[in-house]
Amino acid sequence: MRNEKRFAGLRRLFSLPSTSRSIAREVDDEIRFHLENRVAELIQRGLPPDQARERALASYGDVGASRQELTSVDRRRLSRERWTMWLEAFRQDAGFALRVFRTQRGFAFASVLVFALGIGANATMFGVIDRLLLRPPAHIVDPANVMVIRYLRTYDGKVDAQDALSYPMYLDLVNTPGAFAGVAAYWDEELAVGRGLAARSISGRRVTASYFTTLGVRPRLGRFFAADEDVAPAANVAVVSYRYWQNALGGETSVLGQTLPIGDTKFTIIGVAPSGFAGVASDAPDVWIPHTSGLSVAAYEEWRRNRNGFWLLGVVRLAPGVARQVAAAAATRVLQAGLRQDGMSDDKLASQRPGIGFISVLPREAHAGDVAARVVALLGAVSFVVLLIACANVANLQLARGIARRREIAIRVALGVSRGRLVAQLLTESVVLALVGGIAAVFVGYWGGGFARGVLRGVADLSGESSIDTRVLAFTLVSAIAAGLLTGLMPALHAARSSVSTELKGGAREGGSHRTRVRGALLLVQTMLSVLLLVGTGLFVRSLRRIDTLPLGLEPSRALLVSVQTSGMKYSAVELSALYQRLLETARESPDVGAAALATSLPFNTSWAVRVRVPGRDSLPRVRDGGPYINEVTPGYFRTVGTRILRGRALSDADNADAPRVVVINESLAKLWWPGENAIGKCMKIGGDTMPCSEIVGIAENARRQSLIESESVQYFIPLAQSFRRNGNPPILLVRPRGDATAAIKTLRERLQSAAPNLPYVGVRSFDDLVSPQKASWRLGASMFAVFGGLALVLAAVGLYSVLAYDVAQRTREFGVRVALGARGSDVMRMVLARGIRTAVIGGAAGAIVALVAGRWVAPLLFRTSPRDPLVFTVVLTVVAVVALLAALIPAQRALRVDPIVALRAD
Amino acid sequence: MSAADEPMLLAGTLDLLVLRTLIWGPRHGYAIARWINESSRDAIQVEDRALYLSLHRLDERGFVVSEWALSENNRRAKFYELTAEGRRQLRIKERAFTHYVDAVLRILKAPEESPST
Repeated sequence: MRNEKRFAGLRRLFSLPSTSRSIAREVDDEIRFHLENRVAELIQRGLPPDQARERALASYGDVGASRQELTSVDRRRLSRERWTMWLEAFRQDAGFALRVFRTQRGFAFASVLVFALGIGANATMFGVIDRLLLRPPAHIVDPANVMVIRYLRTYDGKVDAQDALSYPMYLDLVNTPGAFAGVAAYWDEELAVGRGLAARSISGRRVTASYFTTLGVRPRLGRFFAADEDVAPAANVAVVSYRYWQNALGGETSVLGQTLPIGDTKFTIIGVAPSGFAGVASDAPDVWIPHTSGLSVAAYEEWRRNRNGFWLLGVVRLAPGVARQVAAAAATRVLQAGLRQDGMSDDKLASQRPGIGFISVLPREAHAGDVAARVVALLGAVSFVVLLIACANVANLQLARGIARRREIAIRVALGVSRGRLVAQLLTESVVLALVGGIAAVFVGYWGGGFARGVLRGVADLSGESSIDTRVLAFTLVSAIAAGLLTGLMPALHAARSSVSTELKGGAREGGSHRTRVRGALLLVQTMLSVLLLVGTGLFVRSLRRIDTLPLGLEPSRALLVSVQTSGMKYSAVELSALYQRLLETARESPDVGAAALATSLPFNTSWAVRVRVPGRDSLPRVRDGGPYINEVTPGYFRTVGTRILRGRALSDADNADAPRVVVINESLAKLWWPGENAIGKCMKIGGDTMPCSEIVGIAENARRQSLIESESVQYFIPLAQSFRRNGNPPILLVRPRGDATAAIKTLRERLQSAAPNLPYVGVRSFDDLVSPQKASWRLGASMFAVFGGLALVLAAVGLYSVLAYDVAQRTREFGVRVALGARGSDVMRMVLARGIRTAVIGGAAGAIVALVAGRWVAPLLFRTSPRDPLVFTVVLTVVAVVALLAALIPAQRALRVDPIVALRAD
Repeated sequence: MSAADEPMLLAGTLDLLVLRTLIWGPRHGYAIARWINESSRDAIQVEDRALYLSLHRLDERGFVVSEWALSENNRRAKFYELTAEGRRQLRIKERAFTHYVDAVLRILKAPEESPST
């Protein structure tokens, strides 16, 4: 038996086919040998050669098939053997590595920590990027054919695309023949469940019955809407999200058939959507209901006719084999015919060229031009840089350790360990460290994921999902192995290259100038990369500061928004207005409220315009963004939202329905229509020629209309009491608490909810919620860059410290000699400090140059900040220099304390 | 000779025969084929293709090892040799097969019984 083992071993050594080609050749040889012997035998028995050949082939069977099956069996065996051999080698090396680390706990711990931070940073960013930019929306079948509908119009030669559609536009697409396999529309709405103090608010999405079929999603439980369930009057049925089912409804299958009281209506739950399904949006609602729920047939007919209201979001699935452009052209034709029929003039059709466009839901296209998405991608690159720094750091530690291990390695080489095996062994050590670091990185990624999600709020809601999934784990594993190999490569090659004789001869002290140079270079690279990241941090922090201090003409962080969710309830306009009046009074009477007001338009949310005439003017100048935009407000509005009155007066309680009509205009409108004049006292006919004059009584500072970054918009404000419309938009209540606005949300909500018995859900949220998502990309950039930049700086500082400390330890003897020869302590100290400063200066300069070059790509992501901002560069370079000095200080002091007697006596 | 005339080889039996052939030392495939034919007095006609598949699979499972060496007529041939594990397998397979055949034979040779008990 021993004999056989040896035989097997020998075979492995000498005749194991090593490539798949040689396997095929051996199979061929074997079959040929067989056939030739058989033919020879048959000829010997007296058969003519050609017959012998035929017989031999016949008794063999299908030679081609045989060759294939034998080759595949052998290949399988070979690859299995290779794996076992490789795993066995790795197991041995890893075992050896662990024994080595047990004697060098400090080194192992430091390396694992650094790896964990570097790999963890990458795992975090990968999780976010994967979710945001790589994966198509979940549960959608064949997402490549699913498109978001956009309404295109041309103004001043520029194509303007908007996502909001009118109901007739949706019908136009439904009626486009042959182009679509499905057309669906939806919009989001907060829904109130229950009434009075027990009332809750849930997020709803009203969808056409075609929504789920167009996307091709399958229910987790039950069913989705049937085709006729959204025909007004719609069926009272609801589909709930997996999350809502689990968190609020108990997660049992018996949920089907239960009812959900939304508004005054009981909805029957007919299905549960699969976990993570959010349609083509980034966040899932709690419940889906038919879009026509609660709508009368008459109101539905009004929808079908109204081409001026834009509120639906649309999505289509292209019919098989129909190109996007073809479908868009077909839909545009139907749209234009509909617009013409509904009275749009040919001139307007020709100048605006209204049409339909499509954008794929695949992330690559859906996020093109999305600043936040680009910041996320940039941060992915940044996290990779952090990993590089971490690798450089560990490589540095390994090189230092390699010096200490020279004798061990030299002895092993002398004992006949091949250099290949030695490199493999050293690489394995590094990979083992990285793998342990990778395990720790999963925890870093878990916490980091939570942090990133918090920062991402406003860009995407990922709160419902775990930050660690199999893809993240796989990525972590791969990056750990890659980081381990990358890190170990240089030190391993280094160690393997060293010559046996010199290593064994020399004392432990001479560090080897080559190795020191490599370590110095690694240190420079680390410093350079840290500077790069810190400059990035600085630029984003500056952008965020600029956007935070942008004069908005509003103070969104000081105000709260109150709205009563009346969806699904029958309130007349009069009842509704009485309800809001009541809430306004309750809010005003609250001791901690400074001001409160009602408004029918809300900055950053809604704006609308009506016809305005100025007596004596044939035409009025217009601005590109349209307008002038009207807002109907109660007195106290300007104080509540924080808009200053520049001239004249604000609206007051005296401006009631019986008083003369008054209006406050904004600065831009005053400049546009009455340039160089005093606008106060002038007359505006709001609503058209037939309306009475509204006298301008005040001029307000400009305030934002829809976004943080927009051209000046022209606006005016009239008293709500003097509104000329019988039933306008339901108002919104704005409240300005005296202190911190967000802290007041809870008490205000409770007080308002009990202002009247049996009120529907009263929603209170911060005005800032409307604004802060628009700052998300800079906030994201600033905070994540700061984390990564800080990490990079710490790693570089630790690297510098360890190199200098090691250097000092190695040169104790030299310092001792110098001191003995009369050098002062401060000279020695200066030598060490100089090395640290040199690193900071050279690395800093290189980093600054790279940052200047790389600035080109970052510039579009910044806000009114030059990528060459001198302040940022100055601060970063100063910080790096100070940190380098601090890192050098401790080793320098140690050098100062060198006692020549002790130093020379050692060894 | 049509396929129907050939005695059917029971599943797994070929492996048993091949292992058994190797008990006296390394052989190449052709020798194994001949030995099976001859010792069964041509009663068992194994298709060569099946024989080689069996050999390679036994090799994969570690029951035999193979090595290229010179044949009796000085040509390069692939020799197969039993491993310890292969010997163990052979004993197990042999025992199982004998049990099986005995059982079959017992049924075939059983005296006719009267239906009434």
